[in-house]
Amino acid sequence: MATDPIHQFVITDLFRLGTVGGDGTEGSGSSLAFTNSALFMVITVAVIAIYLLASTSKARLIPNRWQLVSELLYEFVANMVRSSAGTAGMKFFPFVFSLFMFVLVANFLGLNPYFFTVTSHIIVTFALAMMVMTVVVVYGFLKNGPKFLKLFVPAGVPLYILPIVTPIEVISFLSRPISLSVRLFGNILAGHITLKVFAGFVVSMGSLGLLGFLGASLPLIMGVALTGLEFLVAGVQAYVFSVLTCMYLNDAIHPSH
Amino acid sequence: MTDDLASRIAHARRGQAAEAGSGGSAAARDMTGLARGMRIGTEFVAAILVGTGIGYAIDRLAGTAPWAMLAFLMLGFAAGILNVIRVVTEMNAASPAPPGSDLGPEDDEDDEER
Repeated sequence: MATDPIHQFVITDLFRLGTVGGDGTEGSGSSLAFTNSALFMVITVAVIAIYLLASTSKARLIPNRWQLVSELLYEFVANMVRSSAGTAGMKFFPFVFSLFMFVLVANFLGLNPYFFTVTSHIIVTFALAMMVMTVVVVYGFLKNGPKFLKLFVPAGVPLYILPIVTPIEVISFLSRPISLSVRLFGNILAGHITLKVFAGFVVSMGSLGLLGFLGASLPLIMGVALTGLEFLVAGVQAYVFSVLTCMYLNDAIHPSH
Repeated sequence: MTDDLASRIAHARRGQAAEAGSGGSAAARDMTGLARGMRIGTEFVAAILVGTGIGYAIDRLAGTAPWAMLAFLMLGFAAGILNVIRVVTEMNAASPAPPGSDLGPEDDEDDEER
């Protein structure tokens, strides 16, 4: 039955690539497969690459609509990086722009009926968040050396409170990838389930005769409204993800509170 | 016409220069209320989860159950509050209260001394 609201998140193997590890018997080791999730990641990247290449290949001084949208996206992300991480953060612009475009396009593609939403799986968003934190930690240590650890020792705190404050700061830092990934995943998952549940109401009420048919218009209106809301959420969450990336990068560039 | 353009370029340059030095403040400017709420909520919950997880791992390694988990639950709670305070401070800095709004009595600081 198509009304199962969780069914849309099921991962299916499209074709097997082979197994890693195990002793050769059936079912041992972990199988590598090209899944529907991987397919939509490839589609996301392909859409971004084709769109950006096509819209900027014949760049003109007076842009046409496609080029204008690309330039607006560039300006939007560039301003975001500049205002959150300063001019020194602009060396991370390609990284932040890639993350922003990937999350944005994956969210928007997922809103199409029958499409798989890549960002509705926490392992995908967590991998993105860990990528951000790896860049922050590696660059922070490369640029500042041991001074990067000042991030965990706030300035002006008396010495006898430091044993309490430092673990709190460390936990606060470690919670960043969790909150970054859970926020994106939670918003997308909750939105898609809500949308599916309301759409399911329409079908099940519509089959109850005339009164049900009239009553079904209520969840239908909700469904239309929620679709609009989901488009907003898809954009806002991509924005939030990349803004927070910029702010964490800012900590790596200037490690002091 | 060219003067106008020159002044606009100068204005934009000044704006960029002002933005270049600062970091972090203007970030939470245009988020919806839902996004703000989600942000505060996840920051709080994530810190508690991480703290409890660290405590649980220490307990598993050192066999001190449940004391490290309890202690780190508390630390995680404190880190969650710290996260929330940081987020809200930053949101307040990004969008100051509109002029004329009631911010409560002015002499809050004096009360502590009495």
